[in-house]
Amino acid sequence: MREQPSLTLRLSIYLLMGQLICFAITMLGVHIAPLFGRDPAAIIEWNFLAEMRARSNVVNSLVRTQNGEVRIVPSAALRDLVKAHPTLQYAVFDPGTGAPLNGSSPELAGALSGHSGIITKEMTSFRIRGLLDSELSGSYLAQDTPFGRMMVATHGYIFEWRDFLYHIFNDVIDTFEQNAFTIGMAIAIGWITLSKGLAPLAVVAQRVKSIDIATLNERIPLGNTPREVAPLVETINEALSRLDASVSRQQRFLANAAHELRTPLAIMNSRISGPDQASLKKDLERDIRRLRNIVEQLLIYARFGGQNDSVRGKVHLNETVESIVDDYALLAVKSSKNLEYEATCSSSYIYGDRRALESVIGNLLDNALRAEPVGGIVVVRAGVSEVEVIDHGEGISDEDKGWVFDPFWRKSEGGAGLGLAIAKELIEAMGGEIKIEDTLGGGATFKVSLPVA
Amino acid sequence: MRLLVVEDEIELAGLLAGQLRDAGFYCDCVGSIKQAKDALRAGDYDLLLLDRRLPDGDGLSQIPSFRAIGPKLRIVMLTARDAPADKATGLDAGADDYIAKPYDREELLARIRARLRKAPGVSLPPIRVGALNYDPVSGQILVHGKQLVMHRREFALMEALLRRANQVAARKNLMEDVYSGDEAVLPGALDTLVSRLRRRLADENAHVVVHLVRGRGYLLTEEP
Repeated sequence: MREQPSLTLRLSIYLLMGQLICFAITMLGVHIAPLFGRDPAAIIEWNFLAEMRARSNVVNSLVRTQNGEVRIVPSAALRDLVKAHPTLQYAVFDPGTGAPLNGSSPELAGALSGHSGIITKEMTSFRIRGLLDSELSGSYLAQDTPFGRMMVATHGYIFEWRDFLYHIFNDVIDTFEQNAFTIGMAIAIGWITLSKGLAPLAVVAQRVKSIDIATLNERIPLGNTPREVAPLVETINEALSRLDASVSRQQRFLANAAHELRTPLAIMNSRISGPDQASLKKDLERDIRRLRNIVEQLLIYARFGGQNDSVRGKVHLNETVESIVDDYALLAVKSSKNLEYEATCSSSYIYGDRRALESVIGNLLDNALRAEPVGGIVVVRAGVSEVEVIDHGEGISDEDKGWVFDPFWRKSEGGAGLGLAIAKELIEAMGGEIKIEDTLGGGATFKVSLPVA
Repeated sequence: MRLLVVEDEIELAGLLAGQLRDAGFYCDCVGSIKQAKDALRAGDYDLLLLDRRLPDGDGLSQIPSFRAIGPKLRIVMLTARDAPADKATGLDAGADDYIAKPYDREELLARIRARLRKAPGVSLPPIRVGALNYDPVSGQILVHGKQLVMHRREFALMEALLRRANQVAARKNLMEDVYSGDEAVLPGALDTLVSRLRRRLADENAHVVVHLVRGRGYLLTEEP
């Protein structure tokens, strides 16, 4: 399976990034506020922000010469810095001897050496007598260098904007190190909450695994599924309901069809052994046609898969009806009845399956021709999205009207079912409707209506 | 009008051959692809009725080789598989037509006639309905063996109906065949012509009916 994105990993990363951003913003605030006098306790001036970088450059400029002496050899960065701000002076003192290293500014070293004795006390900010009017100040701090702990003095550094960023960057790293535990804790909590929260999904997955055609009536219980994920389980259950309904419908249909097939076969069987030889051929032809019809419908239904509202395609209604009427014309003539076709609309399209529609109308025509008295006219009328098949036979009683589409219904005198249960399934699967009314003057009118394309 | 039926179900093949012979075609039957090829090489056939499912393979895939043996052969596939996709496959593979089982006898005959009509140099057997006998080649119509003589228009209508015997002849097709679109025709002219024809056929005891399918056209068939 493709690698799915990890929610817990994402949460952890977001938490981390969030923390970093927070720190950065806080540091920004911490440094800006005093500059605008918001924090009177801190003695901060713009230039002080340059101190850190200056000091760092000095430390990076310390080298040990071949004879073991440690001296200041200005790095390129330090040189650039001095060039940009000539007021910058630096000196590094060996804490043991108190002597300035070679390369230190004599002036600065001199000024600081004014403090007699070994100097170990740090001064975060000092000013030099004689330069009091200037904005210059200096720092004198112990630093861990590659050559041991030294006292590093810098003075006369001038603020540049990049110092701002340098400060923030370093502060963030520092604060991060100090708060590593808190951050780690936050991430851990996030991870655990999410993992535990999503665990019920594994249970749901397990339940879904066991669903099969025989257990379609089961639904997945919500259990401890978190609210945010519950909709997924609900939609799974809805899908199961739809499947269940579809499968039931299909099973019903199969049962109907099998039953329907038995009847014409039984009739044919009895005809063969019966005495009425004269009309045998005609009757058999009709029985076979009926059987064929049912088999056709079965095949069409199988192709459909019993889907609901299955939109198959645009079908030209008139053309389809006309071809069926033509097909049944000969049968009508041979049974001494008439067939009439009327189109109330010159051209229209419906949504459905052409073969299914042909099959259903054929079925209706079959029944109508059988019901129609000799010499009568069966009328087929095509409208914009409906088809009517009208016969003038005995009709169907009001009581029977409700039953006609039931697969087990038989006409009262022990006649045959009309094969309409299957027709109804097909029409409804296309999103249409089929119903019966009485023909004026006697007979049955079957009306099929379909969705307009 | 020599037909070769390639169908391995013996009963069906026999029935089919019988129907075709009744309709006036000369017909042979074989039960496999190999036998079909042998027959095609040995004899001269105009049309092949080919079942798909044969004991030694899929009839469809052999169409190119059948054509190689008989280039002018018309091929109509007969099969139980009738999903639109199968029809398309059949036609794509080179069949001239495709008809699904169980087929209507009339439809099958009509289709065979349609295929053969388009084949040059093939003479179609006469069409018989009731006591009428129509030879499409000579254009002669016999009733009870005696030649039928009629007015030009009536004859055109008779021919048009006979060519579409046992099927609904659409009104507009009849109009085209009878009136050739070169003159203004009064509405109802066709129906008047049909009544005249009916009377004539009744007089001749032709044992046929010209049935009106209102909204569609006319249907010529044997008297029930």
